[in-house]
Amino acid sequence: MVKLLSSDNEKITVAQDVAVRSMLIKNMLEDIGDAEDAEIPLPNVTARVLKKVIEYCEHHKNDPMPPAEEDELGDERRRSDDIDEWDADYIDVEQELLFEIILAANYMDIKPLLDLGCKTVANMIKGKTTEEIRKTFNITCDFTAEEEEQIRRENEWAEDR
Amino acid sequence: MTHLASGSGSSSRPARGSAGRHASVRAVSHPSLFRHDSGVADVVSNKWAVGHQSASPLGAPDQARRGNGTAATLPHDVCLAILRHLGIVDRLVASRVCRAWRTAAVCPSLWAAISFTHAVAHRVPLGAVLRLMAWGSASLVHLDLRGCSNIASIEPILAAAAMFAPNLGHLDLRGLAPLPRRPFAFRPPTNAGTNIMSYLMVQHVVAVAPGLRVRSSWATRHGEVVPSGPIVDAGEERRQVTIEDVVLGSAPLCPIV
Repeated sequence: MVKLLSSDNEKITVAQDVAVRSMLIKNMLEDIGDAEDAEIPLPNVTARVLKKVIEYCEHHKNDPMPPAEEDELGDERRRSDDIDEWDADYIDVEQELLFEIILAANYMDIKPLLDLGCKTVANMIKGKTTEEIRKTFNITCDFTAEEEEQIRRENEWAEDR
Repeated sequence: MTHLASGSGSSSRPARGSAGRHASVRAVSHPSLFRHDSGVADVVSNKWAVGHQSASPLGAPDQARRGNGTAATLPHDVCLAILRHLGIVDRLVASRVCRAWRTAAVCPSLWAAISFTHAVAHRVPLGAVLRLMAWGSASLVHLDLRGCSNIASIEPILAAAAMFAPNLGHLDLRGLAPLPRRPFAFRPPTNAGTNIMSYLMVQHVVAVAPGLRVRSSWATRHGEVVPSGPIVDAGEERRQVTIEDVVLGSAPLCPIV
């Protein structure tokens, strides 16, 4: 068993095969060797999010490990419509939690979960206009008017939906 | 966003100059396609394309903090990962949202392979292709311009490939205009201060990108598609040629010096 310590100081114990879905934890465990009572602090992850992340790792604990190095080359415009049913259900959460899961997956280095989150966000972006995207995610445009006009002109051909 | 919005990470950018000699194009890794004083000057210049330093989760403490789960504060890598799941059109639309997304959208790794869907191919302007090629730069390995009937001449594409896409391994130009049989050359622009590289010859394309494979209709007189082959096999078409009618739209080609 592995003891994890969330940012809000909650101790959560998980089975080793679940915990090592996180490369961060896996590497830490390797570093500290077999220190039985070691506690792994995760100062960037709250207990609420951590539990949600563990739920994912539990479900996927028997999946083959993803390749360590991802090929950045090649198109690999990964299909974002191939999310399986359990995953789709799992990631169907309010937006704030969705982004917190993504951040946690990024921090804890859990590639398939990061991928799932990013696919989900990508699906929310598809087909929308820039303004609709801003509204959806509550993002403030921080371009100057001049810059914005410049990019708008540049992309005119692409936005004639 | 702090560390993403600054101009760090661009120290390797070659200084702009006016020489525009082909001899220097080999060294280029991440060129700027645009001049500062032109309408699209800043698009890939320092303040936008801030390099690809990755924001490690640890390096972005305020972004991973509790209750900070919003799209507006995503680390650079995560923005990239999201954009990677989008097609070109959605990517470009998303790149207009805010600076952080824009910065992610111009990352070379996103543009390793460029192709256009049927729905948009016919209206893709040359300037957009050149811009995307510049964004991809050394990462660009696959460029498929089939159906891009809006592009009236392929010389700028070849020139751009020679200038800043040294790893381009597949270039599909089917359906684009054939090379003119008359001599053509890049003519230096007449307006003062414009840095268009001058006198780029197709030989230089060959010289700079020896592995460039062209599946092209311009290699044959009748416009059939011929099997992939090195550009040097294009026969008489590769004689010294100079381009007179470069249509660059809003994206003037700049030298990388």
